[in-house]
Amino acid sequence: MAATRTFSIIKPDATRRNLTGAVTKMLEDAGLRVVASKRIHMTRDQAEGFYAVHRERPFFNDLCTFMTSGPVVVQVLEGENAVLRNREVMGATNPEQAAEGTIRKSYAESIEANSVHGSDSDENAAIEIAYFFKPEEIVG
Amino acid sequence: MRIDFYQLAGTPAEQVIATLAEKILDGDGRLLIVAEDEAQLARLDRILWDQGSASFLPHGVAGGADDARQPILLSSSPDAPNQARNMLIADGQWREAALTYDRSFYLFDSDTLEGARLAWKLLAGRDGVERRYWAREGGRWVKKA
Repeated sequence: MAATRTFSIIKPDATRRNLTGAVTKMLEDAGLRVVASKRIHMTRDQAEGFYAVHRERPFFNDLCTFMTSGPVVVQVLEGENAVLRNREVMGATNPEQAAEGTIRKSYAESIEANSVHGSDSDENAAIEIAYFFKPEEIVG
Repeated sequence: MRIDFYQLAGTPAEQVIATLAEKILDGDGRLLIVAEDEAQLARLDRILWDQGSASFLPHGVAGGADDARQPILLSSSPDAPNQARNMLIADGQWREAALTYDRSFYLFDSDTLEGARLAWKLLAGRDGVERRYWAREGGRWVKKA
């Protein structure tokens, strides 16, 4: 099967706690390759654009405030069924249901959360990747 | 109405809250999360942006212009401007207002155990109130009563 790509954000709480490497290692151990990565401090405009689908929702402002509260690491991940694989490695909200090797299973007690965003479909992955990366920044 | 007592015994409250909140949202329900301490509410606010299988659990802190529309509302008051029919007590302090909801969740730990015991006894035999008690056993939640 051909490799596909997905988009990931390591969120402000994880970067604040110096967990970028730990989270990335779990992604790589799950068979995903980091083919693009950059640490950025999202501007308000960037956050509002990224979450534009939620613009009319009551939590929109607070969500954007959180995502601009500190640095994040945006990444393009490549692998077989990358979208699904990334969501698998993020793990279920309930650690009891999360499989071994998932971020939640490994870190639920210590980092309190999955601390990552992962695209929910190939279509959205393409949109999200294009939002943060130019084609030449992605090196497969 | 039904009230579920959760004895945390070392399990982070945030972990339990996230799991329960996601289930309620999946069922198209709304939730009010109550804690007296503003610092705890602020901590829950931050953590819920990091939870949920999709990326985050949509919520707001009470006092904003959109309280009535929030799927999950964090508040120090047991009133639910977001019309939630589910309430979660996050700080272990029992509130009688929990009985005015269709379903309530009462999280307590060793520091608030006595209050939980008292609430459990007070609710015994109360008309229309179904009590359940959950405790951790072998890393899983087990219904004890």
